[in-house]
Amino acid sequence: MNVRSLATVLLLVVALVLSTLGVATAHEERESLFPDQGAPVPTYREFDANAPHLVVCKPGESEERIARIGDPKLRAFNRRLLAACEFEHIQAAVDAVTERGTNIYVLPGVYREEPSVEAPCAQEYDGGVVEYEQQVACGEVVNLVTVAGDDPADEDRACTDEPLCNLQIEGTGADPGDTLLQGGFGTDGDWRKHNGMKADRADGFYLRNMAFELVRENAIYVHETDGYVLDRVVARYNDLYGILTFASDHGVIKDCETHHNGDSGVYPGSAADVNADSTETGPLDRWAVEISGCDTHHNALGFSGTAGNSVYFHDNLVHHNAAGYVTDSFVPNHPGMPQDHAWLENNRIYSNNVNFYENVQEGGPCQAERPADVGYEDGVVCPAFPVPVGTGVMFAGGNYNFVHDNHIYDNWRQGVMLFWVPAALRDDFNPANQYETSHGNHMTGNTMGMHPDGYVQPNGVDFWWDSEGEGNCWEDNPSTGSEDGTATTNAPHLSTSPTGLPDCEGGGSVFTPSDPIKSASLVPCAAYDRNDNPSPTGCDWMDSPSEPAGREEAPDDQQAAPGAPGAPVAAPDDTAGGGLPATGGPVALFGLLGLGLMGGATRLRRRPAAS
Amino acid sequence: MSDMLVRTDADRDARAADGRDTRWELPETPRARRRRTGIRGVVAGAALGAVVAAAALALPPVDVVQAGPLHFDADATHLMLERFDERGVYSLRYVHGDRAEVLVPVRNDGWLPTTVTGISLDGRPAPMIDPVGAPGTPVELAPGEEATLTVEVRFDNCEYYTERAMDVYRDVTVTTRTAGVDVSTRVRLDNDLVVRSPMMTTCPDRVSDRGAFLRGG
Repeated sequence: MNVRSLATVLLLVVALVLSTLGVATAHEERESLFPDQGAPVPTYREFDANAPHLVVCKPGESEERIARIGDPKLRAFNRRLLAACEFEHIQAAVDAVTERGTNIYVLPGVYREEPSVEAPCAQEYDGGVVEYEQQVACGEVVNLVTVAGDDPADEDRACTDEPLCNLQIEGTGADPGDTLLQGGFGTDGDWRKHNGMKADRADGFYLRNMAFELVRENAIYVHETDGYVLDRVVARYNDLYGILTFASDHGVIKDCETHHNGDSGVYPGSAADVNADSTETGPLDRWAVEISGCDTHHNALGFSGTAGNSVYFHDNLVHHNAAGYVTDSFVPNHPGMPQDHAWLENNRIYSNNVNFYENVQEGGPCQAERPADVGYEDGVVCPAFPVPVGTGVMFAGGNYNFVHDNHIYDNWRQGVMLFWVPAALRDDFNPANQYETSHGNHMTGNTMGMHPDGYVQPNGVDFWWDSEGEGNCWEDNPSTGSEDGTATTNAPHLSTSPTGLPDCEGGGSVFTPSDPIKSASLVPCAAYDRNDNPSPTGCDWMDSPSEPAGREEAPDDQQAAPGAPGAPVAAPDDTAGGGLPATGGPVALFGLLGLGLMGGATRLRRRPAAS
Repeated sequence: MSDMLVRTDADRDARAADGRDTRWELPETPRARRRRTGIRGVVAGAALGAVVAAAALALPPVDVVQAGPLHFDADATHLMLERFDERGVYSLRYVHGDRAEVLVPVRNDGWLPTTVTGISLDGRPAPMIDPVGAPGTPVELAPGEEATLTVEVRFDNCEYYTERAMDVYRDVTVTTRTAGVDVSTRVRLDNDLVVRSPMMTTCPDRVSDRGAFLRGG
């Protein structure tokens, strides 16, 4: 054998697999700043014929849908509005607003906003950053409906006395799904728009009782806005986010439903960092956004937020996602880094074990060349972000987060995951800042591994921690995962407390650097990319975790075992049936859950590839 | 099928050489040909394996170059994250269009003098750290001798990445000439090198429908 042959053999022996690419939930946008005008959370305005208002309807279609409304009073109200209808498209009504505090009533129908899709001013858009001035001049470049409140001619970024301040847009059907804003696909099979409805510097914006679907990025988008409410909205079947708010303050998101989104259902990214100077862990006196009564399910991430600061998240259902509640400090150019002061209380975070990553593998539906061929409208989810399937809550580099009095169960990998993210990964190369995350996080009073009706449904482990950080503590979290009822953990050796985790009474953890063995999976998993590296070498996050021993089946999960694809709440054009019940609220959501899961099983039988 | 109709290649060749007419002979059946080829392959493979195994055991490595810890020139913002991942990683800041130098210490662990003719980072197609040259090569290395090689890189191609992306580099390819023979060897770095994709605001060519290229569009 000559030297070349031998060298070739040796070369083969030492050949290694190359892998590449990417991480962390995030959001592309122009340079953004927190609002500082201190605007209040707007309040809902009941109908007043004497108040400025405009009516939007679909000729013919709205009349038919109104006729199907069961409630005679609501039907009569809609008919009265129909008689006053002047606009066929929502954007046309927004453009016609002349007085601040106007109400826009959108009658039942499917709104595709054709003039926005075909807007001449959007034809030359090259896909780059859209500055605020361009949002005002031609928001159609990326949005189906644009509400740009601030006058760019003035120096502030606030909506003060401009006509679109305090705008209220309300669907008038019995359910959110009765009034649907739909993106969809063009004749070339590509997405028609990036965003559904965007409120940009639109202080006092109130959106109510509508559904949004099928856009490339964000179905509902609130940006640099002070004071906003998203009330009884549904956001579904989008490639990235259902509801996204960014660099905004004084927000309320309530009684929403988000499902089948490729990134997350609800994303309050870079929420105003109103507790940045506080080293106290919740409960909070002041928050940037309050999210309650929402049902977020069958998304890659039920909730996420890069720099999701001062988020008050309570009384929500987070279930049947790949991961439930995720917040991170991974990405550069997000104001308010690192993430801090989320407050999670009285939520049910469970059964987040659905493995959507099968959809992005070779031959999977997400590898279709044209978005129109993927099957988004049938519930196909293409995860844009790597998460460990089977995780209830994940704090990827956050401080002073308070997880209290939640039911966290049936998440087959881990209930709550907490780990450090070095600052360099968000473009901060100051050596002094590298260990600035994962401090002061408290997890107390949560019920782990137990269905509220008493069924034993353990998490894989209750708490996963990489051992990094100061002042982190775990206390009074009873669990079904161990014989003595204490919470289970990946780090039983770290403390003399019963759980092995530092308790709060003793001041929490003393600073130690991250355990590199525990963080060994982070870099390989960061290489995930749904397009060209869906199974990164050395990463097991995309593997379905096995069912924990001793799990009992509860009546409300019989029809859709974790891992089963979920069902759409309403078909895209079935605007009569979808969305939240008229009563709304968390109680109704709990009841709706069973029906949704039953539908999920039906879908599973019909089309296994979709999820 | 009769044995009389089966002819080996040697028989056929011999008859052809004798000028005998072979037109009416039946050709060898595919099954027989596969069997014969398979037996030959097994024998040849076993022999080759034995030779390779013997050579690998008997000879010292001919052309192995080992890499040491990376260094970077003063213009490249970087940081070693020792406790992130088991091996620790170097994080390098992406500045679109800038050039930087990655310095790679290497040692000739072979038993012959070698000439390093080139070195390059191994990345994916359209890498964010794009190797554009290896100034200073070629370099002569005696057995056991060390040298620090330079890979000149340019930060590029962010347009093909999402805002979530992190490009990871784990190997360099070192090209050498030893005793007149050219060899390329992929060498595992001591620590991974990572670079995070910039956001759209600092990536001048990125468009909102990013990902289409990678999907094959």
